[in-house]
Amino acid sequence: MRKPVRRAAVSAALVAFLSLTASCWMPSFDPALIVSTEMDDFFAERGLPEWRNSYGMTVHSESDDGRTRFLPFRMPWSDGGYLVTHEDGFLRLATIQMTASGWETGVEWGDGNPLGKAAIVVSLPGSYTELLVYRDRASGLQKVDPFSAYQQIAIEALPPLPERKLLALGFASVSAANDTVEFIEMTWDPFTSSSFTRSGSIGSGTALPLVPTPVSTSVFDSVFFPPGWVAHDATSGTYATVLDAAAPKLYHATDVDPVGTAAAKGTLESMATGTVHDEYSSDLYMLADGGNYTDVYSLDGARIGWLPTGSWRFAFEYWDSGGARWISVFSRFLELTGDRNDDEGRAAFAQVEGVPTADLIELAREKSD
Amino acid sequence: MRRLPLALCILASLAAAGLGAQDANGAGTGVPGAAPLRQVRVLVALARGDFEREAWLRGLALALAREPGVSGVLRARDADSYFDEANRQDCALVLEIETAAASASTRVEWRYLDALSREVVTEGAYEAPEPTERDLSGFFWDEVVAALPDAVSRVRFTVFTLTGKPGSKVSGFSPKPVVIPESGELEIVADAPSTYRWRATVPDSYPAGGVFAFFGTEGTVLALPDETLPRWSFDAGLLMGQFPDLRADWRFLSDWAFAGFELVSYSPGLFLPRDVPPEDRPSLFIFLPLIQPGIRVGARLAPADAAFRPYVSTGAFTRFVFPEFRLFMLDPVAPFGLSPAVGVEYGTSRKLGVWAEVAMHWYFGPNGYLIAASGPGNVFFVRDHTAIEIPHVRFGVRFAP
Repeated sequence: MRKPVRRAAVSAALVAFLSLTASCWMPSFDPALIVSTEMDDFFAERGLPEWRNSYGMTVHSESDDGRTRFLPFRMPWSDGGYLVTHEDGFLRLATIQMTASGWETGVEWGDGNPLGKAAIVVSLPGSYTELLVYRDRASGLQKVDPFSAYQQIAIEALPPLPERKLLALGFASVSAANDTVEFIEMTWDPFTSSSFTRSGSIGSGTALPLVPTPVSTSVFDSVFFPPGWVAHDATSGTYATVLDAAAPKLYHATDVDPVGTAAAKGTLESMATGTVHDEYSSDLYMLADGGNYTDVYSLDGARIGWLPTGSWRFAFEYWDSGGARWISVFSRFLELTGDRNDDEGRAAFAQVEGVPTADLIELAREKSD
Repeated sequence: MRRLPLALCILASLAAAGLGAQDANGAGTGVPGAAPLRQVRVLVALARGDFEREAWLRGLALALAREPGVSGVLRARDADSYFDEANRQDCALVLEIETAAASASTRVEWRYLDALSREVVTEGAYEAPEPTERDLSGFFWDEVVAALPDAVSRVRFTVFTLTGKPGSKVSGFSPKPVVIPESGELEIVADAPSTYRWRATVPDSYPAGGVFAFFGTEGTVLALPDETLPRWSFDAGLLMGQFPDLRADWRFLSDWAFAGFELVSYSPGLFLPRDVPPEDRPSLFIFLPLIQPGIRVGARLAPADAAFRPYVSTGAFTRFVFPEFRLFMLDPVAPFGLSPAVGVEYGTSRKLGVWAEVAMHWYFGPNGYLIAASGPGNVFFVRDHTAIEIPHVRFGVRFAP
């Protein structure tokens, strides 16, 4: 009788001891990466050679693989780009540079993290050095040169509107002939409960424009932070705005002065992350990246389909004047090793693909169910 | 033509004689019709005398040990109570030697005694010239050695019966293991008293073993236990103490080998990150849209009745994913893999045990670097179409009904 009891006790002790090994181990499994393999096939079939690029690189210091994305230059046939990390509300930037041993980030990231909280980072047309960053309402929209040395970062700011909180911000390419990016900023005045919208175009080497007359657009029922996304539909003269990260809603606001209406058009599954054009440049679609899938909505709030983007992130849309078509550019950033204390850096790679936006919308429509 | 039946008869007789001779050589077995070869242990008691004691003992032991009827020769340590010593040491015979010096010769008196009854079995005496060391290891003991077979045949002749499943191999009763015949019974010739540490491997049953004390009682039977081995066992475990791991194994080759099915589910799982502030602590449970069915085969490195049973195994698995339940498909990044493992099982009882093993995932897929990117820090080897994760630990409970 003693022997079974002793064995049972030993077994229980073993199980109890081994239970202590419960940890935060994870298998080699990334749902986003798995989903994105379908997008890989799509890019292999429809991708454009002038955008296709990949970089095996060594990453130093502060990247966070789960939150870092690769932002390519906004020009075809160009190598390089930026690593952008949103970490606990702070923004880190780094450029990747070709060295004797290949592509790698600097040991110190370019900005030393002086930018604080940031909402949106956009690569500037025609520039290999400058980025557009919106970090907070006090600083407003800024042009940043992450190549510059620490504490010598060239920051050129669009003066913020006083006493207003950012509701939504949007960027969109306009004709490449202008070599500019259009931005739309929507703010909210807590004293008057009015919302205001202003827009402008920014090009490389140009100063950020002052928009003299903000347009009072609408009153929203609450204020949200981080800001949502806004897109301007020039043909109808309305602003489509997605607000509330927790439960994203699409509003339509007319630019009627002094106060217009903001009608809720529907609920989105995730926040909008960009806009793309249709084949005829007449309609805009909103992309909403939900992690593994990107839903595509019309500005009326109707979901027209979804894309199996997975680990691919929408970077920007580009007007191909030669082909007279819109190009949607995506990027993917993956780290191979996760040791944060490795002085020699960590192996990673970034990929860039561009496809005609019309093909992208076609793919989304095929997956409308 | 008339000579042919005669030749066949002679041939048959010779064949029968040959078989009989083979049976007679079956050491320790009581196969019917065979004359079992007896072997006894002999305790040598050399009386005090004026001679080179060590040389005499060494020569006598060598001479006796050469005899087929002797399984061992021991020297008495105590000159007064060597019968007790003989019984303690399972010696059936005691050989007493007394010497006396005569003129230019030595007189040797010898007697074989039954260790149990202390009766003289046979005895004699002879005179021989003062022996040299060479003589002591040779002819000097011829008379004593020549009397040994008769003495062996006259000590108490005892057998006991071993019963068990046919084909069972039992060791410990003779220099070579004996096998239970189809009849299921086997007679073992043994001295009495004697003690045996025996062990039996029984086909498709748990091995058995123990210590058997035989006192010479007529009709003694040692029945081998026959506890049938389970054909299947079922495991419930955890991978890294986090993810459920279910297995069903078919056991074969008397439980030295196994093959079975396995299912690792990564949904749900436990997730216990370290160094996370309480306010940021994530949910205890995670749900990865991944399941990993597989097959495996392995070998155990210890018998079925051992408390600790090490084993090695290798498995082949596939991975199915169902991200956000929008798709259910073979994992396009790492669809297949191998899982070699080494482990140990500790049996709480015949039916229940715990096990722990170290295993690794060796994935194969279209792009090994995408596999490596799927779990940063997990992979230590990557090539174009393969990647190997650092080893992980599994443990669980095994139930064998």
